[in-house]
Formats: sequence, structure tokens, C-alpha cells
Amino acid sequence: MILQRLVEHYDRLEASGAVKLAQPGFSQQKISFCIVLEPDGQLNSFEDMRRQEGKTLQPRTMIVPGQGKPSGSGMNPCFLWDNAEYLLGWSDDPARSERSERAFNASHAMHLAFESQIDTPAYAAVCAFLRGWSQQKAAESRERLGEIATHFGVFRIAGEQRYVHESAAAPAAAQLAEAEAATAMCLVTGKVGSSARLHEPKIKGVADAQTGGALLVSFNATAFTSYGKDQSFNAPVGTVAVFKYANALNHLLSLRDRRIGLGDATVVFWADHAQPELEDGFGMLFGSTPAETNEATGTPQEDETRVREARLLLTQLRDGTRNAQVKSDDEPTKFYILGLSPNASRLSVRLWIEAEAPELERRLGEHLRDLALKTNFDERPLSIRMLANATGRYQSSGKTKFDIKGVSPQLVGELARSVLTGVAYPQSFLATMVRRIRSDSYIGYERVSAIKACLVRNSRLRGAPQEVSVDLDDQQTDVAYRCGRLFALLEKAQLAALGKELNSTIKDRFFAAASATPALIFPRLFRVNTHHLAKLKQGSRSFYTNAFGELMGEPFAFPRQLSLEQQGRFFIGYFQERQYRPAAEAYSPEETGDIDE
Amino acid sequence: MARGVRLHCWGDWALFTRPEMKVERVSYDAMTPSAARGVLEAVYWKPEIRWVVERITVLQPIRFTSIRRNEVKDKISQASVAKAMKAGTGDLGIAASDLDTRQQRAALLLREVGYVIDAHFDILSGPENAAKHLDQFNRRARRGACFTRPYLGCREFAAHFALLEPDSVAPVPHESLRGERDLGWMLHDIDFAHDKQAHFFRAHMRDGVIAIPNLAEATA
Repeated sequence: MILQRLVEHYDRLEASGAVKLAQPGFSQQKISFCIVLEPDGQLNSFEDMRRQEGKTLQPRTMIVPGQGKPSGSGMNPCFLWDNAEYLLGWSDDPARSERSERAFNASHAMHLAFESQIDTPAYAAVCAFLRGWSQQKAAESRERLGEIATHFGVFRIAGEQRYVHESAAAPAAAQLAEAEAATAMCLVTGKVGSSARLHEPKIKGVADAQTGGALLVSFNATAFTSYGKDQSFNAPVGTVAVFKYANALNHLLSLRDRRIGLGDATVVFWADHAQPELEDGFGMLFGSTPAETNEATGTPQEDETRVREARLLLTQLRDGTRNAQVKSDDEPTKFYILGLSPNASRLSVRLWIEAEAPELERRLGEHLRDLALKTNFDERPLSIRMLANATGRYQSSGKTKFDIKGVSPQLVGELARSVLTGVAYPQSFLATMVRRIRSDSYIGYERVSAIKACLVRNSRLRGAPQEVSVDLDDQQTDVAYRCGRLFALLEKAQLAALGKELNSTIKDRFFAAASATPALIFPRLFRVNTHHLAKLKQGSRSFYTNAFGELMGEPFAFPRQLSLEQQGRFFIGYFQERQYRPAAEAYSPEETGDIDE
Repeated sequence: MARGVRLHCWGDWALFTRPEMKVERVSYDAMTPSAARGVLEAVYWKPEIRWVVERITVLQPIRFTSIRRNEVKDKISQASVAKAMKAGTGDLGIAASDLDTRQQRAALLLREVGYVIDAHFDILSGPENAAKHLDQFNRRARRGACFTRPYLGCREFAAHFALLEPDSVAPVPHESLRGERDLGWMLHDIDFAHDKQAHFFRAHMRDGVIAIPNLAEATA
């Protein structure tokens, strides 16, 4: 399915013409320099082909004939493009001069062999240049080459716009293509044809994989082969299909805002019709913000309009107010999400989801609703990465809010899978979050939202949906929730009474214990609370007494132990009570006993 | 049909490996005909018969999960096996703790699956006694007898099975499987007679039912 969808994506991109993709027999390579020649073959100059991107000069990506250079120590000259070693016999490492000589000779020989077939003045100029060139001449231009010959180079005749490889005839490219002998039924297209032995070009752009590129389909050890088949003949895929899927995948991985890193996996997503808002909203949900390159400075900047639209989309999805633009004659757009995880030279598929856009929107909305929690700060929509990072240790100082080292790399991927498929959140998620709160006592919006989402979704999937309100719920009778609120009130009273003299509040000392064994801790806290209340003014005192009375009005016994889910509710109650600020006209500053009194 | 059987099989995990994603395994969305044949052959098979799968009904919603396991990258060589056989003793194991040979392989597999396999058998040789074979299969399936434990794609994912009598009501597919779904090109089977070529067929799932064409049709 995956390969088939990638092949379809390639065909779609081809047909739309919006993106320039390589054709079979060609490949995309990074070109950093160009050899400009006079029409008679004399060297005109070396041209720097790199482009400014941000702070660095990046080589330009161009489509050139032939496949990429394979690894290994054999001679592999490429046709009308190559690195400086093959084209000019120059290398910045003096120890390689003998190899450079051989490489240059090989390239030289190959180009001259085609001279009789390709009868254009441009190619004749190239051949004349190669005949007259030698390593010593390359050494003369050492500084210039050292600067620009970092990647590959191409040829151009001075005065002409096009490069020589663009104007040279195609027959040469076809001759360079290897003929594969084995014929089999391709498992992507179903057609019988020649099947590829190695799946080239390699997939580049997956984080932490080999820089030279990794393979999605490879059989690089004997244990992986079966039925006596060798290498990729174990899974017959036609050469054309291989080319298409590899190029489509490389293209997707090169788009910065369609590629997201989630834990140890790199996720790409695409749709079969362009749906830019949904794709941006998607990216934002996962944790990447839509960016555009600032034309002037070359730095990627957040595209403010797109960020706003994406945020609006997420809000609409959460509230269910999104108008589905369903055209009756069109089929709904299908979304494909592929998560790839590196394993040295191979890629493993961590995530593969195919869903129609309305279904996907519904699932995203469900997730956002599960997560929704009122807060006093205008928070950005919580991305999955933020949720997963919140399981790390809280750092009050430091680059990030949470210590990422403590986060399981698989958690992010599994969270993404839960959000996109609508199944339960990972089992460890709730437990890890509760455990983390107990150990570092930081109750933040991200953590409490995550707990709320787990509770709501788990109960819904069990068949007994339980409501956890977005805002403080006065009518909630759940004991653990009320205990949490009580704790928040007790803490408020303590701060009001003793505020500035305190080194540690009851939260610092008793929070974890109170959430696990309320029956042991709360009586003690109430005993101390009487002393706190004694220090407050009459108005505040009555406020607290009323509040306690209200909370404990229903028949109430402090539970001896709270289960994991109940501890989660405790934290939610605590958080919501602390966030609660009634409307200004409902109270006077006297009553609440704020700290600044 | 006189030679038709219906077997209900289910399990906690299943991994019907796609041939192209064999190293870092990715499962097909549903059971392949070759896996169904494997389940049937584990219950009852003789060289005189050949099982032909007609239809696979998917019962549970399709759910994936991902795991990572330590495996090895070498195969035990035939020569060392022959030597051990001749000598009568020998150590043929490859330890996954051996750093040279250890490979970590991920797998994207199915969870909580259930299938109903509709199949019939062809008699290849011996007396044309379909009733005998059918009866043996039915008796074995009823009492849970099998030569080896049937498995769902990979040996470690064991399958439970139960015979569906001709007059009993078959389990109904889950409601999320309703409608038509295109599952792409799926492995039909390996043609062992002709150089172990793999044959593929275009799988369409209609309301949870996948109709399997003949092997001959699949190659076209």
C-alpha cells in the first residue's frame, strides 16, 4: 500500500506539473559548481552555483542524467556531471591524487567514447576541454576549486543559458541505464516487467539515518532472503515503480513543512488533493509551525497568516464548527501519513495511516476536545510534541521547559497513532504523567490536559463515558476531584495567612502524599488550617469556612488510597481550583484573602 | 459445496508480512490467501489434497501497532547442518546476543484479529474420496486437533480456530468494515512449481469480505 500510494503521488505531481521531479533515467543531485567553457573548448571560468539559504551557502538541486553515485571504491564516472575528482582530476586531499588521476581518466574515456554519437557543438567543446585538461592545470585553480567544488559540477558553454547535460541528446541517458534481467510481476503496479535488484535512489531526509541515504526496501543480509532469491528479487518491484516511489518519498522528505520529527521517527504526510489549511493544521498539531522563507534575509520565519489560519482550524475542529467543503461530485480527499524510523542503513515503517479528510478531521476534533481545558493564559494549541515532552522532568531554568532526556522516544509516535486513529492513548501515558507530577510537583497546563484527555478517552472507549469539565465544576461529586479542590483551598489559605514567611508550602511537602493517601494527610492539614484561618480577617475566614463546608457538604469520607485515575482527577481538581477566578463583581478582594493583603 | 469448509480463526496478534517490507516488517491489512492456506494445512493436510482459499472475511477492525525485536542476520548454513547430522551432535544455534549478528528489526503488525476462511480442496492424487478428506478435516477442526499450531502470518503469533458448521451462522464483520475498500496488490501465493515466483492479485474488501481469485487468474 505504501509504495503504491507513493507511486500514485509521483504520478499526481508529474501530471500537475507544479513540482519538477526527475524522470526515469535521471536523478536530482546537488550541484555546487559549474565549468564554463568557450565554444572551442578552452576554459572560461569556474562558476559558483550555490545559493544563499539562511546563513550558509547551499548547493542547488538539479536534474541530471543517470543515477546517483554508488558507494564503493570502483570507478563510476557520471555523464556530464560529477564531482571535481572525476571531471577535473582535482581533490583537496593530496593523498588522493593518484586516485583522482584514475578517476579523471575514466571520466575522460567515457565522455570521449560517446563523442561520435552525440554530434553537437556543445558536446564537442566538452570533449575538446577534457582532451586538453590535466591535473596540473587543476592544481593552478586550487583556491577557487577548494571553495566551490564541495558537491557536484556540471558544464556550460559561455554565452548559452542551458547546461550541456540539458541539451545533450537523451539516447546517451538510455544507454547508461542498466538492463535488469529478471522479469516478474511487480507488486506495486501488477504489471509483469523487469524488476529492480537494488532500490535506488536512496531515501534521504530521515533524521538519524545514514547521511548517504537509507533504503525502505532492502535485503542486506542472508537472514532476510527467502526461497533462494537474492537481494530485491525477494520482493519484485518494477524498475519504474521503484524510481517513482523513491523520488516521491525523497521529494516529500525535502519539504520542510510536510515533514515532522516525532520522537525517533520522521513523519511525512500528503493528500491526494491539495488541502493546505488541513495540512498546516496537521503540522501544527504535531509541533511544527508553518514557516516560509523570508525572501530578504533567507531565514525561515513563521508565516503569521498561516499560523493564524491553522490555529483557527484547530479551534473549529475542536468546537465542531468547521464547515466541511464537500462538493457533491468530488470524492473526499484522502490523507496519507507515513512515519519512518531509522535503523542504520534501513528504514522501518513506524506509522502508516490512510484516512479520508472528514474522518481525519473528526479524529483531530475528538482529540482536541478530549484535551480541552480552560486556563487563564492564552496558550498555544497543545501539540503532540509538547504533550510528550511534558512527561519529562520540569526544569525551571534551561533551554526547554521539560528535560527531553526523560521522554520515551516511542511515546510521541504512539501518541500520534492514537490521535490519528482514534484508539486509546498509550497505556503508559497516564501513568507516566501522574508519576511525573508526583515526583516534581509541577502541575502545568500541558500535564493536566494530558491527564484529562486520558481519563475522558479511556472511559469513553470502555463504554462508560465520564465527563471531566473544561472549567471548574462546582457540582462534581467525585471524591478525588473534591480532594484536589480542597487541597488547593488549603494551600490558598496558608499562603494568605503566612505568605511571605514561608519556606515551603503544604504543596511542597504534602502534595504527593495527599494525592495518594488522602485519609492520612488531610486531617493533619485541617488541623494546621485552623491556625491559618485564625490569622485571617473575618471576611476571608468565613469565605474559607464556607468553601470547605460546601465542598464537604455531601457525605464525605477521605479515601484511604486513590487509584491512578483518581489521582489524575485529584490533579485536575487542584489545577482547576487554582485557575478559578470568579468574575470581578462576584466578590470583593477582602474575601479571597489574596497574598498581597 | 461438497468440499467446502468454513473455519473461524482469531488471535491477539497477526503479521502477514508484505514481501517488500520483509526486513522491517509491515503487515498487510488483512489475511493473505497463503496464510489462510497455512492455517488450514496446520489442521489437516495430506499430499493428496491441495487447499484452495475462496474467500476471507475480516471480522475485526483493522488496527496496527509497532514493536521492535532483536533478531539475527545470519542463516545457519546447510553445510553445518549436514555436518551435525553426520556427527550426531553439534551446536547449530546463533545467539542474538552476539554483537556481530544481532539486528534489531521493527514490525508494524495487526492487533486483535479475527477471520473466517472459506475454502475447498482439490484432490491431486489417490482415490477420488472427497468425503473422507472432508470428514477428517471436520472432525479434527471440531476437536481442535492440528499437526502444528496454526499461526497468523508469523509462527510466534498463534491462532485459535473453530469450525463453522454448514448450518451455523457465521460471525458478522465489524461495522467499521462496511463499504468497499481497495487493499491494493496482495500476495496470492508462491508458485513453487515454477521457480518460486510470487503471484499477486488485486484485493477488494466489500463489507469485510475479500474474494480470492484462482492462482491462474492472479497472474494475468
